[in-house]
Amino acid sequence: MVTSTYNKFNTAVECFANGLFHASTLGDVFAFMLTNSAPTSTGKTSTDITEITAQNGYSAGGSSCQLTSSTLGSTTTVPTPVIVLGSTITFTASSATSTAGIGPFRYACFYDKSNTVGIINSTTSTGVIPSNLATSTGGLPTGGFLISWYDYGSNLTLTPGETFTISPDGSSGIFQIA
Amino acid sequence: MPEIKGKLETTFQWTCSACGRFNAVLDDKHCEACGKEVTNEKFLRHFRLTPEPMKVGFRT
Repeated sequence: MVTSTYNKFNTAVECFANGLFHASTLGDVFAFMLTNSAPTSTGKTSTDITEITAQNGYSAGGSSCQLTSSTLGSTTTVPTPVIVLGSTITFTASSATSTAGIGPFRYACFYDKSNTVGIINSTTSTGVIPSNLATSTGGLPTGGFLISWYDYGSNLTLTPGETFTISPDGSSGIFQIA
Repeated sequence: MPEIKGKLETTFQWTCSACGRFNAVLDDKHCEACGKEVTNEKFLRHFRLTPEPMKVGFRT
């Protein structure tokens, strides 16, 4: 069976460690964007990704992958893993012509689309950002922080009526914190 | 918890020119009714990527 293993952006580790991903249904919005250029693990934000052209059913920034639930284990026993689920998203090519569609693309990049706050300083109530994630002037970089990417293995071009669905496992979702 | 691996699937969708059967078949382009392989028929592809979960661990 062909598999689609995750590839980690290094930034994701920094963001997890600093609590920059607000993974709840009331938190950040996560999304998948499509690209035909191989990402590198040193990419920081979505602006480091060469996204495919927004047309024929594909929107700039990709599509949001809503978090559907997370579960905590018992606080009195060894906790079960905290599991964050991602909803299924589908890109559907549509066009007024019979041939124009979406792509070509090969990679799907998962990122935090709405992380614009940073870490809240408990004293000043202002957002701050770790220096190695910040811009040269200390501010939040443009775009959402990257988490992981998946390689389809070959270029895809969707013609009108065709679809590309990203379907997280029903019980394990996009990522697990255990 | 069982290990979850990602997977890639393609569902092909077409109407068989030999028997008229409408097909939606996973990873195969042979008619489910008569076995004829897709040749000149127009068909649609529906790609599905099931991503392997990223795991962040704090426990050994």
